[in-house]
Amino acid sequence: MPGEKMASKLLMLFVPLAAFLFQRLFQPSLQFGDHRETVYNHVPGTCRPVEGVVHGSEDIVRTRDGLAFISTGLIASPVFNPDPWYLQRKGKILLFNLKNPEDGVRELKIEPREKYEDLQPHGLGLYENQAGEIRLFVVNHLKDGERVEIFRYVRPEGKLKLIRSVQDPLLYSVNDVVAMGTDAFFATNDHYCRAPWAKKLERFLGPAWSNVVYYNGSVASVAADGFSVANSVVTPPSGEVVYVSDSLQQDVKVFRPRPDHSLELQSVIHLFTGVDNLNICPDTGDLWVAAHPSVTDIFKHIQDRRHLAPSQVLRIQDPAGASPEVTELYANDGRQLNGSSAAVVYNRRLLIGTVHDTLLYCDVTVPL
Amino acid sequence: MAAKLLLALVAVLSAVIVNHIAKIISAAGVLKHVYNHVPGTCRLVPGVEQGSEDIALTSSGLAFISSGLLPPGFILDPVYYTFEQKMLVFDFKNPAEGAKEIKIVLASGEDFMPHGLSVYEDDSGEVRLFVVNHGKGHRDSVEIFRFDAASNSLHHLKSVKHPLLYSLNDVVATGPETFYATNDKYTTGLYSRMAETWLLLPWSNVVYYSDGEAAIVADGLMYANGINISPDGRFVYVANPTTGVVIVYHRQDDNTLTFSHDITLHTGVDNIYVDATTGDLWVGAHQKPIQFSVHMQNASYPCGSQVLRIQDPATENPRVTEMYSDDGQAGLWGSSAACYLNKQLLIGTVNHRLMHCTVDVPL
Repeated sequence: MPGEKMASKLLMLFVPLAAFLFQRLFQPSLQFGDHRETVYNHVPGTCRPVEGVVHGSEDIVRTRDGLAFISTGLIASPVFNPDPWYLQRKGKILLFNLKNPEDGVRELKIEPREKYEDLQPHGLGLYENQAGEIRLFVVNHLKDGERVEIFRYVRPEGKLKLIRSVQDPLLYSVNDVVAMGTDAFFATNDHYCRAPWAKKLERFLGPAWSNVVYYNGSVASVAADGFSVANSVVTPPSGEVVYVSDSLQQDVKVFRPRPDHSLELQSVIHLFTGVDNLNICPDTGDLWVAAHPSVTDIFKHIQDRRHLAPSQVLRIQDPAGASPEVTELYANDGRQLNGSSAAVVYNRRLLIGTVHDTLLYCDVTVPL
Repeated sequence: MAAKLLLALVAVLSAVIVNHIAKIISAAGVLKHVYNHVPGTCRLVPGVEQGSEDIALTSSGLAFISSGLLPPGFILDPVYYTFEQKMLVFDFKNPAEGAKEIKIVLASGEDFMPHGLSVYEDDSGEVRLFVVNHGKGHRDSVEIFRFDAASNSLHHLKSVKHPLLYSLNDVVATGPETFYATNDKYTTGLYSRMAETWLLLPWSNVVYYSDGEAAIVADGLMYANGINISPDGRFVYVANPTTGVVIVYHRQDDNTLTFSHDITLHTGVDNIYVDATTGDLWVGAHQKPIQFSVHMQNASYPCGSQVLRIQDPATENPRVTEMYSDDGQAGLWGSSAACYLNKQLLIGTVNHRLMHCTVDVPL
């Protein structure tokens, strides 16, 4: 009899505890801080989808004079069972001139041909110098390993010529890249693990093993770590501050680079949403942030493209200062735009990219 | 045996309590994060600092605004007791002139604390204003005024009192002397009203008044707050801030209401304005009602404001757009009403300021 009493007492304790742990681990919306129910639609002006973009526009970067480079055809993350529609995609780089939005997008030729065939583009970085040279840094997910491809943009023909294809043991789960020179860059490794099942576990258990690395032209080193999912990295032209978004910690961290290019944490901007890619306005230093209000829904959207995933674009003024000001420029429950992942603004024109949906162009008529 | 029964009882009770707490957390907006955005250029209307709880618009673009409300059922910061109760008017055709006080011609000795408003205009050209009035000692009534534009004054026509008009919040006129009104709570005491809120007691209702008679036409509501009617008079809209829903009712020929559907908004919806041309609803709301409660107790505690617009509210697929959202940093605390006309938006608050915005986004 005493044994039974003991057993039933343990059960009474164990059952609610197990229920709690089960909920915590497998109720991702709670863990990820999803807030789909309170995503209210609004636009900053007239918005319309850009024709011809159907396989996503995961990252966007723009030159000082409004030339936007867009990565499309992102390979569906093997962590999920992706919707078969995504298998039809082809990795490309598109060009959109924010000075002439009516021209829409056009595909950029890539040389050499083999590089074009293999391209699985993800994050982008841009190098622009006073002489007018433009280099595009592209995160490329090749089967035999991650690369950061450095292209030179050849203006008249509208093509990208490969200059270097960077490989390094410390580039193993690359998401985004920011150019720090003709051959140098910071890059984010969004996970530590490489196997799809391990990445899933990494997200649930949250060991915070994601990091940012610096490549100096010949070798990479870890610049900062302790991120849950370091997604995007950007700097202003001066390079005196480095911003890194963390999708799971729902924030943007502000760093000061040391002489050895390691990063010292200065401040954290909490955004309470699944932050994706960052962009900086070169004139004002404002941050343009695209986010997923519901990380669970963008995951489901990857498995079934009919499943709606909300979108959000935030603007942060004075991001490196004491009181950054956050404004929501765009929000949608998924009916107009699914899974926003990048945003750029040029001259009251907003371009919003998505992981696997289309590309949205908006005229901004609200005060900026 | 008895121990097992007790255990079962405890399990059931804890499930009920946890469920109740979850509902409260959701209703109070505790876990919500508020983002800021505006539809155009916004500025606070000077001189309005003691509330602008409800706004009612005439066909000539004149907005009546109730000010100085001490909302029943809240623990209030003493500073609110210094507020002056008045009626203001804002002309959408001359927004630069701001809000002016209207002279009220009332029988002497009458207490006046205006709350919900409704404009009634008919072919005679007369503009009537129905005002929910909280008389001292919990005596609620609906006052009917005639607006005299020439002298900018409201002339009192009638004071409607009835036993079924006991905890009034808002009113919507359906005829020169007929209206629907909401009773937002059942009891009138401060603590009993708070208990009704926290215990989520569905004791709120909607009443129809006509010719000395009143009847309850919708019952068992959690918190019937703002009320309004579609331009064709066929649908009645009731805002329920506790459930975060606008309830849509069919209005029958005998003025009774039958439930049509809910528009779920997950926010503390307060008053509803209906655009006469499009039938769109413009709703003033409290994103985090818990913050609003704290603001009632502490006048310097900021709280957010939100305006939602609902197109096709009477259909199965209403479209919701957020026209304004602020976490308090813009200096407009506790939005309760929104009024739209000609690319201008007027946002009223329970006991704070009044904001005017241009609407520069497509509608």
